[in-house]
Amino acid sequence: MISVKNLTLAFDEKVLYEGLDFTAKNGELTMITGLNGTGKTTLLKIISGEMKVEGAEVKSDCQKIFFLPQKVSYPVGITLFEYILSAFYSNCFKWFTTKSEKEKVLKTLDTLELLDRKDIFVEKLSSGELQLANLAVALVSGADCLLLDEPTSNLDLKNQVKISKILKNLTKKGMTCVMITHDLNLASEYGDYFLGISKNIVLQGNRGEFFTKENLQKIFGLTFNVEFENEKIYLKIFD
Amino acid sequence: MCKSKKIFTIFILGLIFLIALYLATFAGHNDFGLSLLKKSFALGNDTESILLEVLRFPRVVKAVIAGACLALSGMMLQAVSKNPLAEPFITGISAGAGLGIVLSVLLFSGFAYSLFGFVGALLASLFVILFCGIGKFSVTKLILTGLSVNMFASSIISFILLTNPDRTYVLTYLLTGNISENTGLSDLTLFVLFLVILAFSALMMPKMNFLRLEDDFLPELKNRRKVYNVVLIVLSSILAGMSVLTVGILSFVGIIAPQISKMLVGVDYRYAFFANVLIGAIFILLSDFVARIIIYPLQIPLGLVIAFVGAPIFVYFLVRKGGLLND
Repeated sequence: MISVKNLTLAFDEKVLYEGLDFTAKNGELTMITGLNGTGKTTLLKIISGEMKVEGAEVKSDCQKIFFLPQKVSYPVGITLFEYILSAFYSNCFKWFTTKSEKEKVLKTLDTLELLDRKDIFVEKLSSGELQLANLAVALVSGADCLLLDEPTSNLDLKNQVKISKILKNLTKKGMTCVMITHDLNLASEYGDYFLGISKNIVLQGNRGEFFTKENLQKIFGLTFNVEFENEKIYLKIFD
Repeated sequence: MCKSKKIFTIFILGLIFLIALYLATFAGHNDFGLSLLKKSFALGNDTESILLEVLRFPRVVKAVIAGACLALSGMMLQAVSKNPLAEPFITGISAGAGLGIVLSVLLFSGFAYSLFGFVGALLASLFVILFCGIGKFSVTKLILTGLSVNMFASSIISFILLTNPDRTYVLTYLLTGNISENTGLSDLTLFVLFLVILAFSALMMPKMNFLRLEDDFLPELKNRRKVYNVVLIVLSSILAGMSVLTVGILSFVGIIAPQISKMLVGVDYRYAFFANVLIGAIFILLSDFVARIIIYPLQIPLGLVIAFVGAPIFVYFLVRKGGLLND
């Protein structure tokens, strides 16, 4: 669980948040959506503790946070297996990784259905596979909180769904998970709690509360047609 | 690339290193031949023994130290800056060393000029690293500050060269890079110092494997990453300083040895460590061998040979199939 209380932030004249209270519970997949340049990434950085804001109170009961930025630089010349194994060299002066650490990497690759790609060089992997590899790094490093900045952008539909499903499963196992996405369909299908950020306003709520015509109009300035059917939400832009 | 293949590559490099060691020590116009190999274990008072002991052995030791230091230093900086063009002298080392050497020639007519170069190199890099600030450290800032310091000091060096025409020859010769005859330290001290720094570097190798991951991934480890980065940069400056002490300002080796090692064993730094030490040493041993024999009895500056031989080899590695430019 991570909570932010009384967050007020402004750059010069531009007000990003005013007295924002927000809690990402564990067991829930929190989706942040909204316009470009309204401070979605900034919010993730504040949650992760990387950025400190005066007056705001950030509380977290997570042991280890993993942050996936929009742009990731990858090393050239190592295999997927070695890439993920890199996470184990962070501490102490040991020169070798243990057998159990290697097995952990293999097991994680297996659950992400990447085991047959383990000897492929990182630069030869597709963007979907790379994103899964980053998730694998998060998992083997023992993180219990994932903050993901548009993990599904640039991915094909199949991979978008795959990543979303994996995140959903992880939250069910008790992990705290916050991701930024621009895909409302994907968000409404897999998210549990939603945050919509627009100029000067932040709207939040669970699926039923958040996905209303009025809210979406306020956030995006567009007219939407929203239909509920068997607890599913159907969204359509109504221009 | 599998583990056994990497170990095999390092084994082959080890063999080439031994051949280079043999050539640099025993071959040349005073060819000692294999029969004298055993002599090196029982040095007597004859000319050959003295030649080996006084000239060749110290020379070979310095060549190995310089090559290994330059290669490791380049590898560390390339890893930290994530830039394949980074080289050991990036933190203002070459300029500091150059100024030190020039000053020693001007003020003490060249007395212990390598030691002056070494001190100058360390002072310059210390200045650059402190100026960049350890707390708000960034690699870009480091590279740009180092570049400015290098430019600034080179202008002073050029000025001194132009205003002291009687010493221009000596200075140009010393600044080209050569195996130093008198470092001001005994060869044994030098070698022990080298081993200590090598051991420290070895400790950092697993950390460099960790640094392969994206910087932002684990926010709580961000400070630790910064510390690793600073330690690696300080270490690489000391390594580059060691190379100045033994061979003066030799560029190029520090860029190409890490690239060749990357092509041979990849970027698992635990293997790259050995590969770099060997490649750097081989490079300087062979270049020195060539510098010694090519227009005997004259010796041409090592720096010239390295650039002359190294550039074509490097271009070959770049354009061949599976090379750097075919990524």
